[in-house]
Amino acid sequence: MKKSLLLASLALATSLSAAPISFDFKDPKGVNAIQFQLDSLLEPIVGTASGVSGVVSFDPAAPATTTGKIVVTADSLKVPNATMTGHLVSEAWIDAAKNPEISFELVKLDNVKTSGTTTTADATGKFTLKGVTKEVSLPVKLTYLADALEKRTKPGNKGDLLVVRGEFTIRRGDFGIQPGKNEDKVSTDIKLSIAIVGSAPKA
Amino acid sequence: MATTPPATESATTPVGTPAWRVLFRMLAAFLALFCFAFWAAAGWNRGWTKTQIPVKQVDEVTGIEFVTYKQHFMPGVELLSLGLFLCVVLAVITFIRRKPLSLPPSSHP
Repeated sequence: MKKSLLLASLALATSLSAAPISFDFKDPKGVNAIQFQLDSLLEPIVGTASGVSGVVSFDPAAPATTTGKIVVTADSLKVPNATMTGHLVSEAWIDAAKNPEISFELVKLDNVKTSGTTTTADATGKFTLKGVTKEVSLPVKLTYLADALEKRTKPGNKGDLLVVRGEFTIRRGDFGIQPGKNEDKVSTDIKLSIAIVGSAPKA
Repeated sequence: MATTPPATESATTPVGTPAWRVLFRMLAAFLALFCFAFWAAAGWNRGWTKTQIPVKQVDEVTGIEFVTYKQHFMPGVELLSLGLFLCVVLAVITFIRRKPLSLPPSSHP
């Protein structure tokens, strides 16, 4: 009796002191990417930025306390045309040599709603592109997949996964990307779609 | 005895169509056809030229849709337009003729 009470109180203490889980977004399977899209004369230019890394601290019991930062290497931007990719990362556009990182740092989550393993919220954070930092807000969906790391990697690799999805639009001129130039050829609005997964191995 | 003038260009007496003009026109028509056929066969891409084709895939566990790129050349409308424009230029060249030389005023009354 004493033993079971001890175990129960230990379990309670563990659950009360449950710390947020730290998820690493450097995905070994290479799935993580930010997709960007901007309209142009002939067709929308759609590309991806695959150099995603960063850490998000997520507590399944208190999703509103989520914090973190996602970083994308600027030279990982790619579109289906090699010449266009060259232009995109050049000094005239995002200047990847001088501004090697694009980042989003989460400041707060509002309107947090959790249903099962999925949490939706309005995220506000500091978005940095080409050395310019601006505050942006976007609706996000966080899916916490407990003990799913093993399914994605190898048997015996225990851990959790956190999938982050979101979408927002920026104006390239706000970040010093060809402000006021070529607006008749390439749209000023750039739509960014995020669908990334972070993993938290268990020791 | 009447003699037939040679089928060469003359600034003052244009006769027939020189062989090189016919050849260039045929070449322009052939190249235009080739450009169109190549563009159509390579994928009828009405967008920009692509040097890599995005291939969509889905991660089974997370459901994340991600893109990988496959090396593949697919000419776009801008390359087709350039090819056809050069063919038109080639054809137009064959219609350019030198202005007839003005004859010097006759010294005879």
